[in-house]
Amino acid sequence: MPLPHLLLALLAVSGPELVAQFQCQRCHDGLAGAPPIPVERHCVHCHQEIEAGTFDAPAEVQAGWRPNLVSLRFAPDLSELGGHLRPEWVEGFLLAPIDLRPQLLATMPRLPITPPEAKILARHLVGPPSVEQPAPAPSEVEQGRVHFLRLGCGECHAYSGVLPGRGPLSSAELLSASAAKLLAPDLAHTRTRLRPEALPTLLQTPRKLRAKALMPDYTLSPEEVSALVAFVRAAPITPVPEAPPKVRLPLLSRRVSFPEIKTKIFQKHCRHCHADPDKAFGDGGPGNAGGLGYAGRGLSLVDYRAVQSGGRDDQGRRRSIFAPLPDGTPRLIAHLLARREEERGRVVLGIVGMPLGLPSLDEAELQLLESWISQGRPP
Amino acid sequence: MRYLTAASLLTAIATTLAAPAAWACMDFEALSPTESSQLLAAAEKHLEDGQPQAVIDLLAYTPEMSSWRHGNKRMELVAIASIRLGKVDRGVRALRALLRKTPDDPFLLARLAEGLGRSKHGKAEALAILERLDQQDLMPDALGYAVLAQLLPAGKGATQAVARCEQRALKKSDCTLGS
Ligand code: HEC
Ligand code: HEC
Ligand code: HEC
Ligand code: HEC
Repeated sequence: MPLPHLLLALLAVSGPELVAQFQCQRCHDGLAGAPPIPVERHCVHCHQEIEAGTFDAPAEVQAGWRPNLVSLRFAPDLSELGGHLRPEWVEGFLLAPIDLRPQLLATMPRLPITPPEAKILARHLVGPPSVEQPAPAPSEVEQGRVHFLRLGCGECHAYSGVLPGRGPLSSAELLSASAAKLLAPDLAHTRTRLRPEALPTLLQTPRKLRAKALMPDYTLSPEEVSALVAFVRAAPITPVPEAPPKVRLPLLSRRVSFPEIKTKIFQKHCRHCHADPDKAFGDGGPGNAGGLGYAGRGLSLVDYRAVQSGGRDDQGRRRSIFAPLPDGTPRLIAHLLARREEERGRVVLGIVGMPLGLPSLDEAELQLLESWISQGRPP
Repeated sequence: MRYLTAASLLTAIATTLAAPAAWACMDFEALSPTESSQLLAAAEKHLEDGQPQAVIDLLAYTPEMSSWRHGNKRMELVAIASIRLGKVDRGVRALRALLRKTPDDPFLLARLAEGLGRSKHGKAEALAILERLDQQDLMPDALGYAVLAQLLPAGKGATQAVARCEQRALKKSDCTLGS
C-alpha cells in the first residue's frame, strides 16, 4: 500500500465509520456506538430469535425453520477486546480470515477491507500493540498439559498440533451445542492472537477481563494458572497435515433439473445473501442489493429466471454466472471452488469464495450443480 | 403476518413519514403484502398456463399493491398478457417503461422481444435483443429461444435456437410456436 494512500485513509475515515460501512454489527454484538441493525437484517439475532421462538412469525412457521438454522447461531461478542487481542493479529485476520473455531461452521467472512482500513479497524477495536513477555519454562508447559487434560478444557477447545482433534460435530450436536462450546477458539492460534499479558487474568477470572466472556471460571490456583498459561503459550505445535482436498466428482448421468438445485443448494446455502427483497423484508442481501461493504452484484438466486439473469461486473454490466472464465470453469463454479481454497488458507485473487464465510459445498452438492450446468440447465 | 413478504421496514417508515390521514387512506386502498403476493402468484400461474385473459381479469381492477416492487410486477404481468392477447403496442409500451428502471433485465428484454416480434416494425429490434441475450448467455428461458428461432431465417441458426430451447423447456412442444 503506497504511503500517500495510507495517510489519506488514516485521515479520512474513523474506526466507527468503517464498522458502519462494513456492517460488522450485522453479526457481532459489543460494538459500542455502531448504528443498530434491525432484527430483520441481523444475520445472528434473527436466527437466535427464531431459535428462541420470539421472532414475529407464527410459532409453527418458526418451528419449521428451526432445524435448518445451523451455521450462524452465534458470532463472537466484540466488546472489551482492548486488553485482549493483539492489533497486529486483528489486522491480519480482517484481511485474510482463518477458521479460528473449528466447531462453529461460520467463519469471519472475507470482506472488501483494504490494508489501511484493516489497520484503522484494528486500532479502533483493540488499541496499541502489546508488551512481549519472557518465554515460559518447558517444565511448566508439561505441568500445564496435565492440568489441561485433568480439567477437561478439551471439552470445548481444540488445540491443533498439540492435542488430537475430535472431528466435526454431527448436525444434531451442532444444533444443541452451547454458545460457549461453539465459540471456544482453537488454542493453536492463541499465542499469536492474544495479548500475553492478558492470559493469566483470562484464566483466573475470565469475566474480570471481559464482562461478556463465556469461558468458565475454574477458580484455579496461581500455580495452575501459570502452568496453563505456559501450556497455551509454548506447547510445541507439530504442523497438522492438510485434510485431503474435496474432489470434483464425475458428472451424474441422471437428469438434474432446477427444482432440485434450488432446494438442495440455493435455498440451503445462499439465501439471505442473494434474496428476493419482497420475501426478505425489503433486503436483497449483500450479494444482490449490497451490504457488508460489498456494492452488491445484483445476483438473486431465488428462482430460475433470476439465476439465468446473472450478476453484474465491476462496471455494472450484466453478465452470466455460467459464462466460462479463461480456464473454462463457469463463473459460478469458480466462486464455489474458491471457497474450498479459502478453507485451506489460500485466497483466489479476484474471486470471492461462496458461500461467503460459510462452509464450502460438499462433493455431492457440487457434482449436482455441475451436472445441471452441463445438461444445459433444464428448468 | 410480517414474516411472509412483509416490507415491515417500509411499513415502519411509511408509518412515521406519512401524515395520519394519508396513511389511513393508503390503508383503505392498498392490499396487504400477503394479499398482493398471493394475487401476483395466481396471475403468474395463469400466464404460465397460457391464460392471459385470466391475468387481466385478476389484475386490471385491483387496488394498489403493497409495495412498488409488487406494483412493477403487476405491470409486467399485465404487459405480457396484453402482448399474448394481441394488444401488442400496449404491452410493448409498458415493458419499455419498466425497462427504463432496469434497462438490462434479461427477462423483461426477452418479453419485449416477444412483443416486438409480433409487431409490424419491431422484428429487427427483437432479433437484435435476443441474439445479444444468446451471445451473453443471459437468455432467461426456453420461450426466449423459441421466439429467436422463429425470427431467424430457417437454417443453421434457427435449428440451433430450437435445440437450445428444447434444452431449457419442460416439454419439447413449447419450442414449436404457432404464430
Ligand atoms: C456475516 C457475519 C460477520 C460479519 C459481517 C463480520 N464478522 Fe467478524 N466474525 C464472524 C464470525 C462467525 C467470527 C468467528 C470466526 C471464527 O471463529 O472462525 C468472526 C470473528 C471476528 C473476530 C475475532 C474475534 C474473536 O474473539 O476471535 C474479529 C476481531 C472480527 N470478527 C471483527 C469483525 C469486524 C471488524 C467486522 C466488520 C469489518 C466483522 N467482524 C464483520 C462473523 C462476521
Ligand atoms: C429475518 C430473519 C433472518 C435474517 C435477517 C437472516 N436470516 Fe438466515 N435464516 C433465517 C431462517 C428463517 C432460516 C431457515 C430457513 C428455512 O428453514 O427455510 C435461515 C437460514 C440461513 C442459512 C441456511 C442454514 C444454515 O444455518 O446454514 C444461512 C446460511 C443463513 N440463514 C445466513 C444468513 C446471513 C448470512 C444473514 C445476514 C446477511 C441472514 N441469514 C439473515 C432467517 C434470517
Ligand atoms: C464451556 C466451554 C469452555 C471450556 C470448558 C473452557 N473454555 Fe476456554 N474459552 C471458552 C470460550 C467461549 C472462549 C472465548 C472467549 C470467551 O468468550 O470467554 C475461551 C477462551 C479461552 C482462551 C483464550 C483463547 C483465545 O485465543 O482467545 C484460553 C487460553 C482458554 N479459553 C483456556 C481454557 C482452559 C485452559 C480451559 C480449561 C481450564 C478452558 N479454556 C475451558 C470456552 C471454554
Ligand atoms: C454471507 C452472504 C453470502 C452468501 C451466504 C452467499 N453469497 Fe454469493 N455473494 C455475496 C457477495 C457480498 C457477493 C459480491 C462479491 C463481490 O462483489 O466481489 C457475492 C457474489 C457472488 C457471485 C458472483 C456474481 C458475479 O457476477 O460476480 C456468485 C456467482 C455467487 N455470489 C454465488 C453464490 C452462491 C451459489 C451461494 C450459495 C452457495 C452464495 N453466493 C452465497 C454474498 C454471499
